[in-house]
Amino acid sequence: MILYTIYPEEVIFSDNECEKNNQMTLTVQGVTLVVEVENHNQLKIVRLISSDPQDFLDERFQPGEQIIMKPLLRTKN
Amino acid sequence: MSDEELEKELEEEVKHSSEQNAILNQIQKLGQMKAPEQTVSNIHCLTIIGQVEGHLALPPKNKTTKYEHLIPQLVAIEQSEQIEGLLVILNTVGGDVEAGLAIAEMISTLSKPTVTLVMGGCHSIGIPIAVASDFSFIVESAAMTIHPVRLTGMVIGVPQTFEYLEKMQDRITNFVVKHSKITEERYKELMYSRGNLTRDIGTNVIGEDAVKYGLIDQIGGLGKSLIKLNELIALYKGKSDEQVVQ
Repeated sequence: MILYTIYPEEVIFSDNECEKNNQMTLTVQGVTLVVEVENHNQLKIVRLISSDPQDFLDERFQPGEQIIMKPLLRTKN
Repeated sequence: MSDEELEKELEEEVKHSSEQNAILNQIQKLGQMKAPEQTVSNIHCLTIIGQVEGHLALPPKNKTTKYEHLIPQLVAIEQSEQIEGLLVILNTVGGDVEAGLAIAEMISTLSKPTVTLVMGGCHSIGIPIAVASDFSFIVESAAMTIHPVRLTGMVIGVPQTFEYLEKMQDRITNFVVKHSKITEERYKELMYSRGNLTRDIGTNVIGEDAVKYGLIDQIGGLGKSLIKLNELIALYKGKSDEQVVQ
């Protein structure tokens, strides 16, 4: 892999151990969201990934909005 | 009034009140009368920001645009019947060569009208993406850095390494020359010029200069970009209608 960028390599790859990444990407109602895990059942929207500009006007997907995860029993069919 | 009519009236009243309740619920829940309507926009927009991330995931502090997100979106845009045009907004510092070239090729081979808009900065591998569209705009304050592909990581000081790098460089240069009005000589001259950048050889091309060199088509912001895109959509529609007639 070759990086072609104006940023020096040491800026991109500086290994800072204390930086923990608790973000993940998931799809909620057809829209891809980058979320941060806040609690065991709570997520916060960090970034919305969509090419549809209308999605960015949707109040539900605004960065900072919370997503609540509901416990669900897995049932075997 | 007969019993039947009375019943009907009662039924209607119940229906009406439940409708009102639904609206009331909506106001309580969302603070507005209607849930946001999912209207499909005929223009979709891709924002390419931060580092263009490809084969290797970068440390989390880097803001990245990932090719695994962009490529399926581009396929969906090509396939969708409602989407008529694509606006690409760039503010990137560069990134993975092959991811950048892949995105640039995807945009240039999209059959629907495309317009790119450069804002802030669009450097290194951002340049082929910026020129990949049917028409490109740059705002006056935006900058584009043209510089050679650098040696990073493990470098073996053998001629093969330099040949490999030169080939990589040529892939980028060829794409840019093919998709913009800049000549290969001028592009290479900008790339290898000394004294413009503090840490590197190359040139920082700003706004109007990018248009002067033929790299970008025109100076303009969001409004102009959308007007141009709508023009291209109208043209494209006219062409495809002609084909149907034939």
